[in-house]
Amino acid sequence: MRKKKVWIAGCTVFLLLLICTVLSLRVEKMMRIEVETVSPIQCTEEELIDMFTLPVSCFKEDEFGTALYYVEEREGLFGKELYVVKDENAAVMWEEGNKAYILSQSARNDQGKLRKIVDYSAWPLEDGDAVVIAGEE
Amino acid sequence: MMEKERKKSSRGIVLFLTALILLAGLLAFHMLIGRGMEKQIEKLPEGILLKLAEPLEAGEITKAETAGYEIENIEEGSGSVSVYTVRKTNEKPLHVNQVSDFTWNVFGRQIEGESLNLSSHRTMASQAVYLSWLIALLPMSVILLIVGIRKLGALQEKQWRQGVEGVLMIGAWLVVIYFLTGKLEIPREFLPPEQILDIRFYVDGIRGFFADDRWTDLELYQTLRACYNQEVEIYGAWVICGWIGTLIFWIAAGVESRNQKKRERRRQYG
Repeated sequence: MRKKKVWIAGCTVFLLLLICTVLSLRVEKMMRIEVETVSPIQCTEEELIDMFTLPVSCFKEDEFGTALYYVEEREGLFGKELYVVKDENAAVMWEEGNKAYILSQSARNDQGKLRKIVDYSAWPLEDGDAVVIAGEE
Repeated sequence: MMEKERKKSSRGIVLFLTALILLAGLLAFHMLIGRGMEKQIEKLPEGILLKLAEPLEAGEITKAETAGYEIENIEEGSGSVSVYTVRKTNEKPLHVNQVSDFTWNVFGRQIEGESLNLSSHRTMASQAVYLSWLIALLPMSVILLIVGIRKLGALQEKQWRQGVEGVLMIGAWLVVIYFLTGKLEIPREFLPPEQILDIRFYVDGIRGFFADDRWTDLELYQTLRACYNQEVEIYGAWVICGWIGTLIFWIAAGVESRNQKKRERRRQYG
C-alpha cells in the first residue's frame, strides 16, 4: 500500500513537471516582446556616402545613457529565434528634424547587411530579450 | 438475476449517453455564440486611436497619407484636444506607445498625447473563444488528471491495461491543452512585462480599462467596451453551464461507482 502511494506521488510530481514544460513552451512564445523595426537609409550625397539616417526615436534613453537596439537571429531550442542587441556605442553624428545621422559601422552588421533597428516596442527592452517583429510570424 | 444485471449495465450506458448529449449541446451552444460574436468583432475598429494636445495641420496629414497611413479626424475634442484614428494601408500592425515619437516620425512634429491600440483590442476580443474553452475545461481537466494518476498507480500492481488507459488519458489532455494554448494570440501589451503570473497587472489592467475616463466620451471606445461586456456575459454563461454539466456528470459517475462497489461486495460475501 505504501509502495503504491509513493508511486502515485512520484507520478504526480513527474506529471506536474511535464505540464509545466508543455505550458512553458507556449508561455515563452507569448512573452516575446513585439517590436517594430526600421532599416537605416544610406545618404545619397557624395560627401555623406558613409552616413545613414534613422528616426531619432530609435535611440532609447535609460539610466546608462542612449542606446540603439537592433534585432539579430540566434539558434534557439526549437529553431531560429530573434533577439535584441543593445548597442551603446552607436553615436548620433548630428540630427536634422526627426532624422539622426549615424556612421556605417552602426548601420551594418559584421556581414555588411543593414541592421533592423528597433523603433517601437511593446515594453522597455533589455539586452538579449527575445522579440518578435510586429506583422511577421 | 439476469434482469438485475441488464438494469445495471444500462445505467452505465444512460450515464454515458447523457454526458455525450450534454457535450453536444454545449458544443452547439458555443458554435452559435462564436458565430454571433464573430460578426460583432468584425465591426470593431482597427488602427490606433490618438488623442493629441494640438490639432494636425492639413500638410502634416497629407505627408502621412503619402507614406501609406489612413488618417481620420474623429472629433475636435473638448478644449484643445483632437482625436484621430491612424491606420497603415499596407496592413502592417501599428504599435505606438510613445505618442510624441510617433507623431514626429509620421507627421513631422512632436505632439504630446495618448494612444489606444484598437487593433490589439480587436485581436484580444477574438481570443474569448479559446479562453472560454480553457476556463470551461478546467474542472474536467482536474478530474481527468486525478483519474489518470490513479490509473497510473495501477502500473505498480502490474495492471497494464489500466496503466495504459491512464497514460492515454493524460497524453490526450496534454495534446488538447497544447492545441488550445497554441490558438491564443494575446497581444503582448496585455501581458505583464516581466512574468506571466503577475496577477496584479491583470487586475489593474482590467480595472483601468473599464474605469478609464480618458476615452469614455468616444463612440469607438464605447463600442469596444460593449463588445467586451457582451463577451464576458455570454461566454461566462456558457462556461458556467459547462462547469454545472461537469459537476452533474461527476456526481452521477461517483454515485454509480459507489453503487457498483456495493454490488460487488454483496456478490463477494453473498
